[in-house]
Amino acid sequence: MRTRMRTLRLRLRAAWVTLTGTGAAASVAFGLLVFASVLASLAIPRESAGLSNGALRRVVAASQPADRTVIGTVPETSISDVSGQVRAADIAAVGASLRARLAAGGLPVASDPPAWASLTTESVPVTGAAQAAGDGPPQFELTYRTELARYSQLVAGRLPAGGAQPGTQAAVQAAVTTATAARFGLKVGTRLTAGPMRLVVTGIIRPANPASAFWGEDLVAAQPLLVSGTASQPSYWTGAVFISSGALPLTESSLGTGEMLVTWVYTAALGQLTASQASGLAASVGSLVSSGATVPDSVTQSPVAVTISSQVPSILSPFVSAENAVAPALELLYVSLTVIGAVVVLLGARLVAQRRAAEFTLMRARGAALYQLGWLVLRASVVIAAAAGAVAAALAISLTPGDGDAVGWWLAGVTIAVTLAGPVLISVVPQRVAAPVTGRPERRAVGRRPAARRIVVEIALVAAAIGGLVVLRHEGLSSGNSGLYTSAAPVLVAIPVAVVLLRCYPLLARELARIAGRSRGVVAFVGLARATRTPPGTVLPAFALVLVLAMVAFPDMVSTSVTRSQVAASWQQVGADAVIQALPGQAIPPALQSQVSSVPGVVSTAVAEVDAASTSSGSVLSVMYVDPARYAAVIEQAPGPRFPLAALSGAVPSGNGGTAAVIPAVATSSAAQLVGTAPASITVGSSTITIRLAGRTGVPAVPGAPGVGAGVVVVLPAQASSPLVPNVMLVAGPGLDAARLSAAVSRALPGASVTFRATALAALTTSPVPQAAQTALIQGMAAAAGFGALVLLLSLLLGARTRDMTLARLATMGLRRWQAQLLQATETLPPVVAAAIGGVACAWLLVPLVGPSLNVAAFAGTGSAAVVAPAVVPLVASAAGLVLATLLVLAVQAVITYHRGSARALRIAD
Amino acid sequence: MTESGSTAPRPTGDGGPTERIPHDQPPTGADAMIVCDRLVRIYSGDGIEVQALQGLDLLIAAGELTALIGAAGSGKSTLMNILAGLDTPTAGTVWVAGRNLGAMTAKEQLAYRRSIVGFIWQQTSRNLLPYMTARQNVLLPMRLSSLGRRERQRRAGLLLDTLGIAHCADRTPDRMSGGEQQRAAIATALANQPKVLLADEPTGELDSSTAQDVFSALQTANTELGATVLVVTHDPAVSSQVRRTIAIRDGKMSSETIRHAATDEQGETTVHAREYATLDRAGRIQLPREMTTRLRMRHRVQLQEEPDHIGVWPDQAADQEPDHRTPDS
Repeated sequence: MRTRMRTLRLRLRAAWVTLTGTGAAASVAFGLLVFASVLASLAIPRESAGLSNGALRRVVAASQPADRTVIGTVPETSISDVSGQVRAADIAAVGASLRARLAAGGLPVASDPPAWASLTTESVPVTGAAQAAGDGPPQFELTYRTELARYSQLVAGRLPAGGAQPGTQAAVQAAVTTATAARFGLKVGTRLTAGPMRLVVTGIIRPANPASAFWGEDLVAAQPLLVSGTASQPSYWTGAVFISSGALPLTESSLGTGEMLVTWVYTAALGQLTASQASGLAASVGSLVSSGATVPDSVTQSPVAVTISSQVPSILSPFVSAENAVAPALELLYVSLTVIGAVVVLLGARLVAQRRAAEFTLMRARGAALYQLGWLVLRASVVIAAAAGAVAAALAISLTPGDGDAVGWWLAGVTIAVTLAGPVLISVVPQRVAAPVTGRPERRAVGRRPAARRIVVEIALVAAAIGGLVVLRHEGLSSGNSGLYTSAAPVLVAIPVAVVLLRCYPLLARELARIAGRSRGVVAFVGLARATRTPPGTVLPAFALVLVLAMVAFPDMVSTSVTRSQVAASWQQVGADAVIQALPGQAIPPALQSQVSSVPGVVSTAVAEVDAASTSSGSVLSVMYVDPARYAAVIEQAPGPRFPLAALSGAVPSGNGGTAAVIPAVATSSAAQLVGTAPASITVGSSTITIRLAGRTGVPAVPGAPGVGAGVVVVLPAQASSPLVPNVMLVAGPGLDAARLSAAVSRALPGASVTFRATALAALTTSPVPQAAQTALIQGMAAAAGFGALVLLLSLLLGARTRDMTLARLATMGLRRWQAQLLQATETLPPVVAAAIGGVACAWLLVPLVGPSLNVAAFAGTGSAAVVAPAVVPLVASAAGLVLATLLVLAVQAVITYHRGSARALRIAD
Repeated sequence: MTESGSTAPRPTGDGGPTERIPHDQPPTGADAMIVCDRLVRIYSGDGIEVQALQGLDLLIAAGELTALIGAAGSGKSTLMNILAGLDTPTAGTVWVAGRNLGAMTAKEQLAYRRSIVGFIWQQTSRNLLPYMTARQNVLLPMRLSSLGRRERQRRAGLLLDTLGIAHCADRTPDRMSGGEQQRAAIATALANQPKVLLADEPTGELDSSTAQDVFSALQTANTELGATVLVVTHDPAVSSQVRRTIAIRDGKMSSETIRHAATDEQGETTVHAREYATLDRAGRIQLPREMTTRLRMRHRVQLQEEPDHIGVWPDQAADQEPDHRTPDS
């Protein structure tokens, strides 16, 4: 067995070597790179789709069960037979047709909880039930429901059964819920008279699942409601009794069918709904709601128009619009990641080509045609692409949820295409002309054509990229669908940035080398002199690194903007880190004030009196009297402009001497619109004061203060109100102990409310779509960073041989080890720093180019307008990360080279 | 000049081609395998131009085994690469086996490399694919030219046998000695029965006894397989065993040595070598440096026409009295 395994292993190895030739080891590395690229291009969109699906599940789970239904309603008369009767079988038959129609309209109907139907009469005054003094007689609706037994538990008696034919005086059996029975004093056996009908209560039931649509759809089904009376009519209670299908003929003939409604209720199967299906479902349900459904009548087969109502679109639409807002940012990331992945594959292919170059030169010299070489390379690529691609796909499918979203497969397809075509082109193109087998770099033929060709190619690339940007932007803006523009923009921006970078870099590096040449040390000069040489083929790594850096920095800026927007929204929602609001008429006692101040984590506090006020034009706003300095301290950490403390400083004019004192005030911009800039009179309670707007504040103090909508608050100096009756206390303290604060308030001032900004912020950051989107962004950034490390490693690896050789030669001339390491760093860092600068430039350019088409508000879940703002920290951090990663790789390489010794490097060089 | 009876008759007169060869038709002389006419090859790099060949003329007959010697940078390798179809001359024409190398299409070049010319390079490791056995290496050129499977195998076996490396057939190069590797390289170069075998210092990395083996293999290729062999060498042991040795200096042919064996009455064979300077089409000759140095010939010489030879004298006005006469040109 062991021998057989060994033979198999040897055979496999031989086959691999035959397939990949002198590039056997490099081909393994190439396979790993293909694997990583395919995995990234497939797994990341799939994982993100999974995150979206998770967010949708959370959105669905948070909705009311009754809202997840689709309800069809028709008047009884539209499906009744010639005698004006509707039987249970008719209801079931039309219901089945409706269900089929809904399914055809794209609505998945859940089988659990089961769909049900009802026929309900109008409310009929009932005698025989308990009635409170002063109330009018109670009114009951009679309702026949399918699936009653499934949705209820029998508490006493039995469920209604049996029939009653029109014209008879038989008592119709009825069931009522425990709540209805309690309200009206009903027991099993109680007899009621409902208009011309006689009812007998045979069963008392309890809702089996009170939250279900069965009990939620009709307000009075589970428990009675008090209908407020008018001047002419006293209040009365209304409830429901459940009758059996056999009682339908008598009920219909006795009560008249004019007001009777037949209703079918289906629960939409949203549990397995994926994010990509959500918009389709919302649209199809929306169209059913707006146009209704037409189904054939069970008897006459004539079309019946069914009115459809549903809350499903209102559950899904916010999710869909948030998803649509988030999608461009994520697609931007995926497309760029795939392009980076493709570049990584190409770099890997170059590594293989470099290793096989001598082999191909020999074959070419021995008479191999280009197609024969191409076939050799393609054969290896096919095997590598198939193996690495299959493993990556299997891994991606098994590890990531996905939902059959095509994006990932398209992107993986692009990577595979690059894997197949790239190596062939990279290996075969240099062999167009057969060359001597020397191992020395080829001597170039006379002429300056390569330089000219490079300029032409670069100008064409830059022009194509800029043209693409302009066209796509124009298309996107005019069609309203800027998805393609946004997705392609980073790549299109990175191309000119990389080209300009590679053009400017040698000039700068040469200048640096010239300066270094004047100094005494050899390290800086040799390192920089080597750094000035940009060997052909540095375009790809430079482009990839620029794009990688942009793909780390730009999403980071988006993420920072999102966080900033969420923090700003939390300030808008709450007004301070914590806000204590007393009940109307209460005041916050000084004891509580001092208790709050001593709660751990509280930094500063301000007590205020908030009152409703109205302007002379009748607009309502609220005013807050507060010590400006203390208030300014409380909202010091709020984003936006600082509180204009100076505007409120100085004593309030006394008001003596007959003229009304003009009080300086600070307002939010919405309040300022109501008040105006001129001194204005406002009425606060019973008194009128004159205020003059002296400044604006971005933070609405105490949103939801009495009498006004959030954000309309005028802040007045505390002295303006005398004496101050503090009904609001604002607390600053980002890390305050919320539990102890709440406990202190509830002890000292029962009924007072405490609102924490941290709670509002947590609600925003953990709301499904923003959270999923942020996670997807972070994953994408991590993948980009990983690719960045790969690109770095590969480009250093491609230059490792000559670098080792130089170091070994210099070592024989007496270069010390630390000098060698310094030399490596001096040689390697300039291009990396240049790439970092390019990446920063690219990310910076993306802010104005792409930022406006990204909906940060939807990303943040705040709903308020926000745009991607350039941020320095992400840019600096990612650039520094790149430089540090380079130093790390160099350190590892230095250690390896040291252990290998310089003799080997010199031998390899020969 | 004298001709050796053992080699093919020379198509032209003294020291090389002296008549202009037309560019649009093959050179005259059915036996001319390689004809170079005023070959020029200029390389440029970093703004400096290097003239590797400066109007080289060469004529080699079919079936010859010729050595090419010269200092480093004299243009030997450039000439070999041009003859192998791996480089193109900047000016001049080159005909090999009736083909004008400068006028070939890409397809014709491919066919030329496949079946007209075989090449052996100096570095033993670069002649063979390291992951293939000797047999597979020999088979490769035949596979590239789509030769039938059975014929491929037959020829590979024959070549490996003939060159004495049948025992290495299933070994990869790393399990073969340097000499075996070079002989396998010769077998590979001969796989498609080329008319011309070019070897660029094939023994440069080998010790003298192994070098002798490899040279014997080249001789076998020449005598038994009928290939015209041109071998670049620094090895006096190699150049002393070929009938004709051509020296290149500064991108031109400078001199030529012809050896012939003579058997005396006692039956002992002695090899006589005679060195000739090359007279080019414009009537120029290149005087050997050691002679010009010794006789202090600089800038100008005096010529003196005699009935059967021309005398060359140092410029007496500029230099001191001559104390030796130059040999015949």
